[in-house]
This record gives sequence, C-alpha cells and structure tokens, in this order.
Amino acid sequence: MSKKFQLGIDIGGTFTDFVFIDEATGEVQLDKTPTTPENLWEGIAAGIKSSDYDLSDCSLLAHGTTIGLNAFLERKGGKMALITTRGFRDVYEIGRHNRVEMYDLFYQKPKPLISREYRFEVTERLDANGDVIEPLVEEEVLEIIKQLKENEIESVAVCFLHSYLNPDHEERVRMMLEKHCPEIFTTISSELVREWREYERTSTTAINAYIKPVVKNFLDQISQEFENRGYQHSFYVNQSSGGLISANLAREKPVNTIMSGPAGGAVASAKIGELLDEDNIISFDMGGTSCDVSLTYEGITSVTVESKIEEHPVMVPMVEVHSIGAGGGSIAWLNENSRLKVGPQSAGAEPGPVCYDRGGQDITVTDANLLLGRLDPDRFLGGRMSLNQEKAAAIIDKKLADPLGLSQTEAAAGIIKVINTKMAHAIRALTVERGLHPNEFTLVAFGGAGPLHACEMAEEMEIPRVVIPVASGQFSALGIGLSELRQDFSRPVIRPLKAVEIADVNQVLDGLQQEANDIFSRQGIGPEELNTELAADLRYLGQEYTVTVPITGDRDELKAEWQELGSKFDDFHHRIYGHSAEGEPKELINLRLKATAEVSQVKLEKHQDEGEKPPAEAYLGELETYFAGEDRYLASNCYRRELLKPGNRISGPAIIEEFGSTAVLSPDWQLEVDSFGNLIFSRKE
Amino acid sequence: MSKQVLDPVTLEIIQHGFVAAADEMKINLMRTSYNPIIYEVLDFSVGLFDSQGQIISQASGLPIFLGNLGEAIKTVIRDIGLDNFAEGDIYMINDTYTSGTHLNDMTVISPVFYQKDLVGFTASRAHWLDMGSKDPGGWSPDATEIYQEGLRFRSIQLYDAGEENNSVMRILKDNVRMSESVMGDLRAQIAAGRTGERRFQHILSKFGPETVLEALDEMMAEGEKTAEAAIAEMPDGNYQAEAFLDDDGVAMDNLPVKVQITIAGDRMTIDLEGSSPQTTGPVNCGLAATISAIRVAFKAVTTPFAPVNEGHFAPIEIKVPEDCMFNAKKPAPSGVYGLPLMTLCDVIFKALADAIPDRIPASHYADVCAIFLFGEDPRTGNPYLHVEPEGGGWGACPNRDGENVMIAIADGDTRNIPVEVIENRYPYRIERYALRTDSGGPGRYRGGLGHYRDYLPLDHDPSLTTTQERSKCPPWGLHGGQEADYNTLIVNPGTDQEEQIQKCAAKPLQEGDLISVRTGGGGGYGNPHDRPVAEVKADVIKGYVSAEAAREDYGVAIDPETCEIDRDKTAELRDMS
Repeated sequence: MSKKFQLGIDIGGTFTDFVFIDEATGEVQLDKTPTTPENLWEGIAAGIKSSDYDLSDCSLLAHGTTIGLNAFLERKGGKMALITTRGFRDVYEIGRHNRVEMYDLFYQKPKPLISREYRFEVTERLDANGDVIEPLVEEEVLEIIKQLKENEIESVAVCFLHSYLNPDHEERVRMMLEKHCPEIFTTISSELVREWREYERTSTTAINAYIKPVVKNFLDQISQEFENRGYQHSFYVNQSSGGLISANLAREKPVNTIMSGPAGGAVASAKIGELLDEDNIISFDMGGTSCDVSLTYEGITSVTVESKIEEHPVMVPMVEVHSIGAGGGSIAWLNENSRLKVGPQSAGAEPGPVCYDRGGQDITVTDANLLLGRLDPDRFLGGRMSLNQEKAAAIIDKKLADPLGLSQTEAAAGIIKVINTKMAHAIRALTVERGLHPNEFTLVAFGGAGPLHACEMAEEMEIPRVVIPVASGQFSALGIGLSELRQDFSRPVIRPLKAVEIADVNQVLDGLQQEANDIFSRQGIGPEELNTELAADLRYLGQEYTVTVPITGDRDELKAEWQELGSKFDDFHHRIYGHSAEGEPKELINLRLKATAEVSQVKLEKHQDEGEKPPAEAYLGELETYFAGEDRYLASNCYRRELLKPGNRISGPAIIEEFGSTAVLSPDWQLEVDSFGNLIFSRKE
Repeated sequence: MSKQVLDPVTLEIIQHGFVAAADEMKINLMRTSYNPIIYEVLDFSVGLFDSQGQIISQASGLPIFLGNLGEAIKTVIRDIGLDNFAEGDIYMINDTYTSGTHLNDMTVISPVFYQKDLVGFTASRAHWLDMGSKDPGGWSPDATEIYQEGLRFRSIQLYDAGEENNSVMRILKDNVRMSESVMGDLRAQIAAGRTGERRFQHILSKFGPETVLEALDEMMAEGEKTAEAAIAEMPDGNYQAEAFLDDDGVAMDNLPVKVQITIAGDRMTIDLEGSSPQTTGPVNCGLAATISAIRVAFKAVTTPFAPVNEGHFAPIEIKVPEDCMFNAKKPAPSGVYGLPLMTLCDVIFKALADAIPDRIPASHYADVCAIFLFGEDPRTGNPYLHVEPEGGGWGACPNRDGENVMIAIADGDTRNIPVEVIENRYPYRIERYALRTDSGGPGRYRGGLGHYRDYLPLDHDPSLTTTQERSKCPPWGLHGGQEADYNTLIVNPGTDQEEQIQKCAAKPLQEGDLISVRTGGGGGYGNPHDRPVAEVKADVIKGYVSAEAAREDYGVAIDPETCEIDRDKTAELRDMS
C-alpha cells in the first residue's frame, strides 16, 4: 500500500501516541504503545511497525517529547561548567536575591545546576552598547579548556555580559571549544536569547546546556532509525511555544522544546476553540502520569517569556501550562494516619496499573475506573489489551478497602474523588485564582484519561460545556502532526523613537529576515514559503516594560506606518493598562519577526449531518457504571466512537469508547457529535 | 448569633478574586512605572481594603508595608470623613507620623463605590525617587528634622470626583527632582487603583454585596482563628531579647532595640519597652511602620503561607513607649526608618528562639545596605539617581546552612537590578558581583554569605549616600553558632585612598573611585566543630570558606592548594576545643 501520510508522535510518561494522517483524505488512524523509558525508540518502533503505513511514504514526521523536561526535573543532565565574564561567576548563584515566599524564614532560592568550582571566569568585557572594552583573553580560555577535560565536563554554558548586543566573544569561545574539545557540548547565551538580564539569560543557557547531551543522543538515535526505515524528509519537534522546529535546531536549542508535549495539546485545544467559535477554553490533558491544564482566554493562549521551571527562569517563549502529577497511572496509597492519597507517584507504563497484569501491585486511578464500570475489560485499546478485573478487585480490597473499612466500590469511588479534587485545584489555579469563573469556559478534555473524568470535573467546576475532540486519546500527537513551522526572532534596537532612522529599521528587519531565511532553508523551506509578521517593542522613555505593537503594512510603506507607530503604541498601552501618556517621548527597544511556514498538507473537514440516531453498529451494549452524583450503579449504553456520525445525539448515562480513550457521560448530561466529529457534552435541559 | 454559612466554593472564589485583583494591580503598576525601584526592585505594595480600612487582600512586594497601608487609609478617612468621599476621588499621603513610612513612600488611595455606596478602598504605595529632600533621593543619615527630608502630604486630594487637581500636580512637579519619573509613577499608581476598583466592583456585581460582605467577615474570622491556633501551639511564658544599632548617624551611639514577648494561650503581647528613645538622626519610625514590622515577624512565625488579611493580626497586642525611636513624633527625621525595623524583626525571632527552637534561624544581615549614587550623566547631561538595595547572608537554620545573598526580612519579593540594566541606564560599570568568602557565621550549619558589589563611576564625579548598619552588633549565631561578618562599604579598597564607610550623606566622590559594597553574612547554628569535615572541605573547594577559616573556625586542617585534609591535625584542633 502506498499512500502519502503525515505522522504525529507524542511521547508521554506512560504511552507513546501516534496519529497517522492520510494526506489525500485527511482521515486519521490512531495508535498507542507503552512508552519504553529505558530506550524510547522501542516504543516508537512498535507503533510504526504495527501500522499499515510505510515510512518511505511519510511526507511529514513531527513529535513532542518530555525527554528534556524529565532530564531537568530528575536532574539527569550532563556534568556541567559555566564560562562567564570575570567578576561575575556568582550571578548564577545569587539570582535576583528575592524571596518569593516573603514571610517564610526558611525560603530557599533555586539551586544552580552548576556548582561554584565549575563556574569559570575569563577576562573579557563589553559595555552597554556592545562595544569591546576588554578583548577576550584566549589564553585563559585554553587554560579553562584544560580544566574542563580534567574534570570530565560534558556540557558547557557560556554567558557573557551584554552578549545580547554583541555575540562575538561568546562565538569565539564556542569556536575554541569546538576546536579543542569537540566532545564537549557547548551552548552560548546569544544563540538562545537576545535580551538583557544576565541572571535569567545564564539560567536559560545553563538549562539548555544541561539537557543537551540527553536530548541530542535521543534525537540522533531516532532520526537515524527513521532514516533506516525509509523516511526521507526533515523530522520536526514541537516547541514549548507551539509550532515546530527541525530536529537539527532542537538538538542545538533543546530548551525551546522543554514543554513540547503540553504545548502541543494547548495549541490543538485553541484550534478546536477556533473551529467551534469558542474564545474561552480550558485545555485539560490527563494522561498516564500527569495532568496538564492551560488556558485560552478571549482567543489568546497565554505564552510567556518569563516562565520558571521549579523557580529556574527560562527566558524563551512558552505556553503557560499548569502541570500536576495526576494521571491514570497515579497510585492510591494510605498515609500514616490512614488517609487515602492518590499520586503524585505513577505506576508508569511498566509495570502499569494492577489490571494491566504486568506485575503491578499498586492500585491506580485506572484500576478504580475499571472497578466502577467505566472501562470495559475486554475492549481496552480497541480490544488489543484485556484488563484483569479480578486481580484489581483482590488488591484494592487487601490494600485499601479492608484497612479503611470501606466497600470495594467506596474505595474505588474515593480514589476518583481524590484525584478529581486535585485536578480541580489545577484548573482553579488558572481560572478562579485569576478572578475568572470556570463557567465562562469550555473544557476541552483529552489524553488517555481526560475524557473519563471530564464530565465530573465540569460538574464540580460548573463548566457548562465539554468537548471531547477527535482523536482525544492522541490529541497532542494530532495537534503536533498538523502544526506549522515557527521561529521567533528579535534584535535589540534601543533608542528614542524620534531618533530612529527608517533606513536603520529596514536594515535590522532585513537582517532578521535573512536570519529567518537561513534557519528555514536549513529546514528545507524556501523564502517564498515563509509567512512573516513584524512587530516593535516600545515603551515610554523611563519605563522598563515594553508593549509589543504589530507592524502590519507593506515593507515598502514602512515609512508611513512608522510615523503612526507612536500613537498606535499609546492605544495599545491604554488598552492593556488603562492609561497612556500621548505627549511623552517614546523609546524603541526591540524589533521582532515571527516566521511561520505551513508544512502540513491536511485540513480538518466538516462532514454532513446524518441525523440524531446513532447507527446500530456503533452500539456496543451496556455496562453497569457507578456515578458518584447518584451514589449507585446505573446501566449505561456503550458506543464505539469511530462509528458515530455527525449529528448523532446520545443521552447520559453513556460510555463512549474509542481507541486510546474512553469518555463517560454522566446521567444529567447529553452529547452531540459535531460536523468535525468532536463530541460536545452539555447539561440536559 | 448564628450566621448563615457560605458554601466553601463561593467563599474560595471570592477570596481568590480579591487576591487576583491585588495581583493585577501589582502587575499593572510594575509594568507601567518609570523607576527601577518599582519595576525591578518591586519596592511597592498594593491592596484592597474594606470601608474601615481593614486589609482584604494585599499583593506581595514589600512585606514591611503590611500594616501601615491600612493606617494610611484610616488617616484619610479620619481627615476627610467617611461621608465626604465621592466616586472618582483620589488622595495621596506620605505622612510619617500617621502612615509610618519615610516621605519617599507615597500612598495613593481611592474609594470604591458600588451602586452609590462606599464599599472599600484601593491603595498603592510606591517608593518615589525623590520628594524634594536636601539631598537627592532622601535617606540622608545626617538629617535632624523631617523638613530636610522632603515634602510631606497628608490626605491631599489629587482628583475630585474624576477631576484632576492641577494645583497639587504643579506643586509636586515643581518641587521634586526627576519629576518626569515621579509623575510617571504617580500615573501608574492611579491606573493601578482604577484596575483594583474595577475588579472590586466586578466581584460585587457577580456575587452581590451581601454575599461579598459575608465572605469578607468569614475570611477575617478564618485568618484570626488560624493565627490563634498558631500562637496556642507555642509554650506560654515571657521571652525577651535585645540587640543594638551602631548609631543614629548624628548624635547617639549604641541604640538598644529591646523586645519582651508574652505568650498566654492564644494571645501574644509584644512590648518594646527599653528600646532607644527618639533619636536626633533619621532612624526613627512612625508607629504604623513599627506595627507593620512586628506583623511581618509575627506572620513569619505563625502563618507564613496563608494569604494576608486583617484577621491574622487580631491576636497580637503591641506596646510601644511614647518616647521611642519606634514611635516617631513630629518633627523627628525618619529617612532611614527601614533600618531599625529589620533589626527589630530579628530581635523578635531571637526572643522566640528558646520557645520555638525548630522555627527560628540565626540572625541575618538585617539591612538593605542601600546605596544612592547621583550626579550628572555625562552621556546626556541630565541628572540621574541610582538607588539600590543590596542582598546579604541569611542565618543558618536548625537543619541546614543559611542562604547566600537574599534580600532582608522587611523586603520580600524585592529583586536586585541586573548589571546589564544598570550599565544601560546609569554612567557606571559594575566591576564585580560575587559571594564574599568567609562572611557567613561558622556553625554546625554555616550562615549564608554576603556579597561584593563594586561600582565604578564613568566619566563624571558622583555623590554617594549610604547606610551600612550593625557593624558593632553583627548578625548573631544560635545554639553555639558564631556571628557573621558585618555590612560595610569601602571606597578604593586596597589602595592608599582606601576608606571604610558605614554611613554618609551626599559624599562627593571622583571619577574612577571604586565603590565596593560588602554585605554581611548570616549567623551560624550549632558548634562549628560539629560540622562534618567533608562539608567543611566542600565549602573550601567551592570557596565559601577559606582554608584559614576552616582551620580557625571549624578546626579542620586543609591544604589550600590540594584541598587535602590533614586528619591528625584536624583531630588535634577539634580535641582542643
């Protein structure tokens, strides 16, 4: 069989998800294999092998991964050193000297990834214009290189003061390192961030250096394997800000992909919002290990360059994701006071929940769902896996129900209640704690376990509408497989707006365009395929924070538009902060260029309404399902999602099974299949 | 009286709604201000208050503003009369003797109305660069009267029902230095107030005023209960401690800071009897600021993580003598009022060290070691003023070393100014920003280190105002831990012109004079000879502790070159003790 297809892969903590998208028809085929943490490729290979697609027909392969994030969180990165400007090796340890928990006498700052004895200083200095005051002393660099080798350093971060204006010294150090110790990984700050604030830049550079060996080894391995299996094109990785970059770039700048997987889901949810004309979306992704929540409010998915991961600043753009350790694999346990706790530890893919029958001895959320009749033991993963209900029942009795003096049902229902409360807190953190009521939002629920819990979450949070999107079990992978390439470029141009010569602006923009062209051509994209958007960061003279003002017109007419820029900035400032200062002098800080390129050939299509009644072949029978709101088991109709048609309506209680996930429709709810195949849940009238 | 209990979800949403409103005010102010003391250092505070001036919610920033923001509102209410506010009014106040702070901390207050009823207030306080003091920026350690420290406003109307009061604006503009920055910050504060007002009204319209008021009562009651429970856990008794400040900058030395604490059931009394009388120099604090500092210390040992509201402070009683540096009376100067407050907090902790030993660390550097550098920027010909708080070492804890270089207790989420930002904005090069070896107090757990921060003026002759306190009573250790190195500033270290400075006002310096700020460390915890040799060795390898100090203080003989331990010598050194 030879049909062109695109492939999205999302490697999660428990499962690796696959979405094969037929380029001609837009039809999707889904798959899921257990993630193999020891060697991630095995899980990927299993998924590709079991499909009827041939990688030589693949026109686009993109993936999201948590490998970099996990390396950071588990502190499994390389042995590191820092090279910095003389007098400043402690900037990374001192940080901003603030105490986030300001009444806590025992507050601890984030611990630097690089110990003080491996933070080296060299003589070199730029001034605040980027001009060289003291030239780089190369002999000192050579001396440091000796010590790097003696100490078996794997990865080096280089960050000099004011390098955001002039990267020359950093680049020379990189060349020396590449020449004298090519085996050591190098990251220089100016390739990641071109903005001031030395601590934040150092931290970003250090994280990149830290995860680089792990990420590079992984990407090298899988791209080789893809090639061996006939894949002929560039291979892409999803960035933390949404949008793809080539694996080559991801090897150099893995910090840009640190929130790769969660960003894929957030961006895909926002796209669903667009399809449905919904401006306010809560993206709820519950997999095997974690639950990631993000927000699109008034059509805008929050992206920030001021992210922190465990209080470590990361100065690259990222979708704001609130992540907690709550998934299908989360383990239920009793603490010393015999209180029922769930997570954050997960049974992961191996051994997995008790019911997987792979030797797991810890009851998980999935076991509880099975025991409450929300999962059919014989139809899990499209019947590819059968679940051992007896074993789960025996162990929950022994470990939880008996010690707590509860019935089996009460214990299982308790597990679901505890995990739901935790996830509700995560949603609250993004809505209620910002003064937004969840009832203004639509919940887009996906991931292997998201649809199982969505209806109850919506009930608890008073969310009126739930969407279970197409390919909900592999939704991040789908989002990634349909993404565009994206890169953001910026250059500092710090001067009074009035003093800016239009020729200089053009020169900087040309430079950014050239940079975009170069980077995209390295990814196999010609300049004619690029879409670019320009913007300028402005502020009132004396302010620090800037407002980004888009430059929308034609480059030929830049001069005319430029004259309007100041008043446009006044408008934006007023809109955001509620005041402006029209007459005051303004300052230009950065010019920005965002470049995107479509790589996906596929568009999701609308299908015709086929009536309210689901086709007979979609009906699978009944399950006795426990509902907490009723505190009893009710007979629920089960349907095969893949066979439901647009326009079909189902009244709760019901169970909708699809490959890779199962949705529970509570008794007070109903659903309709929309023209794209999404399930729309709403309360019964 | 039985009360209808609000459902917990509504209560939570309302509470978070107010916290979010304060946070939004904070972001708005920070992002639109003109002054690094606000946008980088975050020397400000914002909050929402009920119609009596009680805190509903306050955004993090400067903890030392934790009590006196409400005092400022209460003063305005007293001066104007609750019935005389109109929608769109805005008032300002920086009066030391009622709102507690020095004159540079300007509070902007607006009433909030809902359906024609006054329901509460928004307030923001921010450190303005200049108030027209004798030296740029204020903070002059040689001031003897408040009149040298700038303009003082009490309950002055900036907006009358939405109409700007041009006269006041002109007075301001014509009497402060760097007026563009000051006026820009005022604009940012006004806008932050509007944001708070809108959010406040939004919450009221969503839940109805009755529900909101009920929720507020319940929030306060809950805060009170939590604080009472925390006090009840502490053993009853009388506890006291004392420390002293170097001097008042003018006439008085060795100023005692004395605290007596009585814990009885779920009540705590804090009495400052025995502390220094009012001083000639500017280290006096208004009573409201003193109360604020005590609240910070109290919160730190009781409910450090709960969102702040007035209820948390109901169970404490505070007694301050009439003639006291902590109860400033007109016309006492108070430009450097923050200094004694940090020591006051540490003395409160010291007093409680035996009552709740597992919750009290050793003393920290207890100053912000502020520097004020000013002059004419040779690049533009305009006057500039660079103000910066400096971090220092924190005390060692019962189970670990103290943190290196963090900001003092009175300042919370307050940040340093990045070197790259300073060099862009001001005519300086920073030559070094580094940890200060051996500055932490030795102990089983070592105190955190202070820093070196070296400023080199470029192409001009600047002036310097600074205060570096506690050189005579350095940060103390606990339970056998030793004291740390103290805060100081040295001009031209290691040269013939070397000069050590603890306090100075508008001191003229020359181009090329290196100004080296050296902040103190934190005290140690437990006997330093009990520190495992391996940990001392690691400290020497990292350069936190020198080989000499390892030997002198820790009884560990270590080769400075190879970092090899001399086991016999070490055993001998440790035996001797």
